[in-house]
Amino acid sequence: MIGLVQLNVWIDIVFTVLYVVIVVALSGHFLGNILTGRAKRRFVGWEWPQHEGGPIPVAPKIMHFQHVAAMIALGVSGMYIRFPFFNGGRTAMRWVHYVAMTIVVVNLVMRLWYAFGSTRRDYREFAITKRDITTAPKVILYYIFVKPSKPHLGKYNVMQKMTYILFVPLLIVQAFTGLALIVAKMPYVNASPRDLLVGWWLGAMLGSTDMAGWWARTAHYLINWLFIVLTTIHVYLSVTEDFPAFMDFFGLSFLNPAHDDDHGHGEDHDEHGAPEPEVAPVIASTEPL
Amino acid sequence: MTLRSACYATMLTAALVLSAASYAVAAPTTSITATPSLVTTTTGSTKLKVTYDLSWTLPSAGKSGCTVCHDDRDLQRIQAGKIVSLYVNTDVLKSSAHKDVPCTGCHTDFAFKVPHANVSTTGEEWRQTAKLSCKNCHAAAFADYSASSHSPTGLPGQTKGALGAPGSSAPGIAKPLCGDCHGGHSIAASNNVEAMAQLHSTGLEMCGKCHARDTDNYADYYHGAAYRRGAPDAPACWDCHGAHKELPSTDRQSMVYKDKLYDTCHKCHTDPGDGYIGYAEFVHGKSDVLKANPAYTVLTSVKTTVMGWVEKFRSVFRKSSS
Repeated sequence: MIGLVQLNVWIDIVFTVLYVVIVVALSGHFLGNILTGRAKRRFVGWEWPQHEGGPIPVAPKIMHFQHVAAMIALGVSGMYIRFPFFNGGRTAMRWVHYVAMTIVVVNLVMRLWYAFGSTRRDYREFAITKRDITTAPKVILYYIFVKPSKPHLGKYNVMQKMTYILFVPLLIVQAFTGLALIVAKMPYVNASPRDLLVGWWLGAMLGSTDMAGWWARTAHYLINWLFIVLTTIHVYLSVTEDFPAFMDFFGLSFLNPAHDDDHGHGEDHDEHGAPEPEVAPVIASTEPL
Repeated sequence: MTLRSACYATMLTAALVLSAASYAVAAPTTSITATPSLVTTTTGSTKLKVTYDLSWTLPSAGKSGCTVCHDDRDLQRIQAGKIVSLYVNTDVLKSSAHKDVPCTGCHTDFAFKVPHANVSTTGEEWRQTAKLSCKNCHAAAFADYSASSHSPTGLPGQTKGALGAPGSSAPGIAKPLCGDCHGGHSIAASNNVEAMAQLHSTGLEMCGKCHARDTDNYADYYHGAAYRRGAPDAPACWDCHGAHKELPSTDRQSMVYKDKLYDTCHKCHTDPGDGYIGYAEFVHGKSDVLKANPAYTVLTSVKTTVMGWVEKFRSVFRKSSS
């Protein structure tokens, strides 16, 4: 069995290389957008997907914006704790991490309530249906420029649904493993979060509480990389596939050159995955009603 | 003896006693009959005018005697062909842990002569004596030091104790005396929080003078890398290796001996079991572990190859443009 030290070194190397590969791949994908004319249609012709329903309310935008800020703060501060890149920042970065993690956990709880418990509950938007699975290959073919358009089944395509659903358990595990790294004893309980969360069961399995903490840290670091990778792809696709929505989410919709909804929405977006039914042309009747 | 002569004798004796007493309380500058002239000119030549025994007694519990001269910023002498300042900053002394210790408490070989005739041309023996005089007050620490691999007497079996043994982490390097690590006049009190924090941050600089290889490879995630960036809770060298009783890791009494690592790591970690202690090899061995990783080896060779191509391209481009 690989030692923890070697495992951590492997995680460092593999994910650093993977991230570089992904950045290069996304750059190549954008080049593909340019070469296939998608970029010109979108960013010059301003042909973007139409969205059903009204404009996005302010509350989700605010929630999303501060969640983005908190996630970036978590990533930067977390990476500093592991790879300090300037002097004297460890204590401050730990506190940044604690504050940001609290914000993210609150956001997670609020989002789950919004999805399942609020009057505007939208959990159905994330449900992966049979049709999603059958049309998934077409979505992939669209993203690799084999098909000129992708099926439009709902608010999110199947890959978005999978990613957003995955974020929830990842955040929960990240919160759990993160709290398990705190060794300060809590008052009244006289035990640390590490003792309470992992010490009694994982520590018993591995031989010591600190060993349980080491594995928690390794899992925390690994999931951190998953977030970095997924968020990078999410940001890239948000910008290239629906830039107006991206701007809207950051309160920049006033910069959108086409405010009205009558603007054409691009040929790369099928309506409901099926061709339009033929309708007989309306001819003005000359007979009196 | 007549009554008059008896009175004269009594008065003379009283005068002598009173003048001797006045020297004990008055500033010695008032009673020095000849001013020592050790001040060097800007050209570096020393003008030594007179050598004499001190005509006054230094107070036993004060520094005023020594600082008469040594508080002068211009006090210098030539040692081994170099101009060396003999200035002692009394402000630093007053804020140090030894502010109540007389100069002769550490400079035990002071010969009460001006200039200090027992100081050699290089002044090295003078400094060596001062650096080792700590043992007079800090017996326990000195005992630990004497039993450590830093002791000039060496460990059992070592023939050349004054230098680092071959195969040690500082081979052939002169072993440190107390003052080499702790400093001299500016040594801070252990209850001075700010000073101790500052001392904590000087580990690499202090130990790195001799143990350059080990301070260079102290670069793992949460100990070395954090310490280098000023993390106050990251361990300095002595937190793991001991402050005075440093021993090789193969020595059973060493804090970093394999069977002692639990206690050493336990100073900071609540429950370091066997697997956890396995990380210890990484603390100074990160670069070795990286080099042993096949993916890292491949990436390094790819990087070297690519950088070679880039350099070749640049040299061709430079030739064609010139």
